[in-house]
Amino acid sequence: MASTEQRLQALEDEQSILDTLYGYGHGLDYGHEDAWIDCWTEDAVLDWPGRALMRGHAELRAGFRNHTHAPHAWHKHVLVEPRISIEGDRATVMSMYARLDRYTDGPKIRAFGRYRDTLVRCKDGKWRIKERYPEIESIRKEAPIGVEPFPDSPEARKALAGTQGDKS
Amino acid sequence: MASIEERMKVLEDKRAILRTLHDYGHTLDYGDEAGFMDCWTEDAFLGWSIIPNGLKGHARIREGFHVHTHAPEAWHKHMLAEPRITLSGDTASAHSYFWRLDPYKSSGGAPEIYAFGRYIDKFMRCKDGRWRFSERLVEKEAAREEKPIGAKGA
Repeated sequence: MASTEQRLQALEDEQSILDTLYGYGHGLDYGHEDAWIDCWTEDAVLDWPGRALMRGHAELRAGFRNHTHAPHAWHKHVLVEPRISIEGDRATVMSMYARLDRYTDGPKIRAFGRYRDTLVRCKDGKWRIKERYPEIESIRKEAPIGVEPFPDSPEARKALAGTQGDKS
Repeated sequence: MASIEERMKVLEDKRAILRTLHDYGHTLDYGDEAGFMDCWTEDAFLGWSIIPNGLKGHARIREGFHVHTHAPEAWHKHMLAEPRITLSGDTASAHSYFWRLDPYKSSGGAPEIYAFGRYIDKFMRCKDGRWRFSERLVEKEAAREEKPIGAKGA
């Protein structure tokens, strides 16, 4: 039987992990560069489909600057249903996401898929993302207002055809 | 180092605020006037983009509720995600994403996204212990021009 301290710590850890997961979307969508970079460990990996894999803060920062943000482009990286598994100072999380964008005839879902994440508890107590592998399972071909078309890649071609499916 | 009691209180407060955030959508979408009004402090401010200068105080917020559509006359969903809650004693702030789903005639009655954006909220812990909105600013970032099925004037 876990102690009260252990049970409380588990709840606090989940809350802290959620704060970081939400920090990703808010930081990226609204252009808060430093807050977004603070979501990642120094050696973190981010593998956006169709783009070069990013490793470490310098590459992540370059990726952030190449991404669109409000008010130049309005979009939402909406994360739901995070399934968090914690083992000591390491956690794995599977979440669903949908990206909402502006189109000429109104807001639409541009893409949906899944985030596969690994987070670690850092020395300052904050949980940060060590690895994020976004999977695109369906994507709209038309580019949103203010946003470039999605880069061509095997993942994108599968997602456009609606044949991505579950890879795990 | 905070005590167990203090740490528990933080989690309980965030959970209670989340409950108020969820109550807003449920009560508005399903026409629960009393439930909706109980989400607000007496002098709260609700900044709906469709009402110039917003709604200040219970009487005006109640007027806003009456102007809004509800089920079963209109079916819609105010969806909220990614709430980032910051506590500061008996007050709190939160930034959340929202998107609203509605059925549309042009889509054969199928659901579409009416709008998406962000809620910028302030809360107060009230004397009865409940966390209520003292302010909600609704930032609508994208919206369809076509009125949804069931919208007033559609």
